[in-house]
Amino acid sequence: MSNYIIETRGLTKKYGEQTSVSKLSLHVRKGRIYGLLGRNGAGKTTTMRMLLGLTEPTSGDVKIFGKPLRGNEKKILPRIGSLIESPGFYPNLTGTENLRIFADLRGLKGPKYIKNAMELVNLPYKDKKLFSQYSLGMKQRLAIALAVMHNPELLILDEPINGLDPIGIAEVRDFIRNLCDATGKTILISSHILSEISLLADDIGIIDHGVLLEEESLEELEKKNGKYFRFTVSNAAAASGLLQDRMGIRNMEIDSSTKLTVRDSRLDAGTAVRLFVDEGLTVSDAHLYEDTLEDYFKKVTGGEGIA
Amino acid sequence: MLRLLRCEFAKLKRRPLFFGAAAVSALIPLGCALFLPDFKAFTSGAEAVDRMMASLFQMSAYMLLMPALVVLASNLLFEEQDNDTLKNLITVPVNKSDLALAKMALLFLFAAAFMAAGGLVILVIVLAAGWEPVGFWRLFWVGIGQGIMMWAGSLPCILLVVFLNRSYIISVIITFFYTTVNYICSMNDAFIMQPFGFNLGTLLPGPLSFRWYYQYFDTSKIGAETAALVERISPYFVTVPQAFFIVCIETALFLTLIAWVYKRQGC
Repeated sequence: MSNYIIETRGLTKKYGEQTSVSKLSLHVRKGRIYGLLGRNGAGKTTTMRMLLGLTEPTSGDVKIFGKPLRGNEKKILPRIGSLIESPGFYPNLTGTENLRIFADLRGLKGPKYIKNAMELVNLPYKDKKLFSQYSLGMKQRLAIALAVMHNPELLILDEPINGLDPIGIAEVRDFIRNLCDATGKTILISSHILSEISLLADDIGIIDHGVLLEEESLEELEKKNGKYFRFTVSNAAAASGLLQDRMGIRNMEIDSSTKLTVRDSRLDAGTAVRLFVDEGLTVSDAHLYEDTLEDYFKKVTGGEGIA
Repeated sequence: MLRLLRCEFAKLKRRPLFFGAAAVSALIPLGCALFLPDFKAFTSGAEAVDRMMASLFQMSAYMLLMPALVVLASNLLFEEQDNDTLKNLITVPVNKSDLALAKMALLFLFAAAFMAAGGLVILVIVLAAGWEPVGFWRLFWVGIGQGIMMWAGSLPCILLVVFLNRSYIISVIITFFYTTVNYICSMNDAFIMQPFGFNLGTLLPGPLSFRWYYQYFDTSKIGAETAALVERISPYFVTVPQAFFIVCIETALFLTLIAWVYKRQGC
């Protein structure tokens, strides 16, 4: 049996001539947080909507818990908690009343489910405040409460930190991390905020223009990230010659008369600095640089940054 | 389905439109009691009950209940899209057809309650005026039956509103025309004086309802004009099974279509 909780094959969504998601093959492993990373309009939400049966795919298959979603909605959907796009609730009801409706529809008996969910997201239980009077952050918290209320095995969260203040973001991040670590839930989370994904996700999928460009664990991505040394010396050309002749280093660029970038992973920086000094060069800076996830994203998408 | 219906009731909390529409059920009976000079001229409790219930059937049901049902239906059906809650419901999962049917069931109860409330207001007025409410309970149940007929009659209009998706202005215009046409037809001999069968006098809710409820009024003490009307139309009165056979057929057809169209609309 497959170890994937979510598996898609050739998932495609077209709106007329426009392709929103193209031949997407996604693999979300059990008990992991999968971060779907992409710019606004990259196809993240459409993908998630297709995973929940909210949007009919033009072609391709969706398997969740090892079963095709189509035809098994009644068995699969109750095991999923979701937050898609903006929080949607009845404005004339309080947060508790809103959750009570969905708890009733899910067949959850008693107030404990609602109370627990609201406490988890730091919203007051049985508060008199109507949903229409909620701030954006409170609305987002209520949507998260709805997603986790029935204790689902899989969470699909579309930009869950939208509208939250920095403290709220940190709280939700810890909360999601804890859900995965403590209860073994599988979480698919989308975001266009790289830093959040890098802090939270175990696996990352990079989507751009509807195409899944990369799908790796964060560890693998970090290994793939480029590392390089940059030296500031009195004579960059001479330093380059020394590295080439004495240490056999080839992969380097002279950026200016005093700046030298070395991309060869075999380089031992200490030996190189000693060599430069011994040969009468002045070394004013030696620095190890590492590509960030943003650099990697730019490299993979072949364009601008994500923001 | 019961669970969905219960949730539909829960969603009504703090909804002034719904409670405003419900309060309107008392409007016509109170208006009759307060402003109609006829009210003071009634000679017996039976006459008071008959005349006031007639105003409930002819005015409240046709002019208020039917448009209220269509407006409320458009409000109920589109609240999920307007509040973006449909995605939450579908991922429960809730079947969209079942959701539409639960909303129609809510309107069914509203229609029955609307006529019942109007009838009870009349009962209170009659009792307060010191008359004995002779024949009230029979007309009370006829009123509830007429509420159900108005509900079934509003379904084609609701179907059109669902089909036109979201356009409240068009919904109101359609409602206005549909209500007016039904009212005019229910007053027109050409529609009333048709045999039971496949014709507009039977299929349109206005004439059908009139041909059913009118036979329950006391015709022993009526004026010459009304007596002539009764003589003219009485051969075309429909029985309870006939009336509700048509109601059931139309209900089944239009509920199926409403559920189908609502399901096909995206979320």
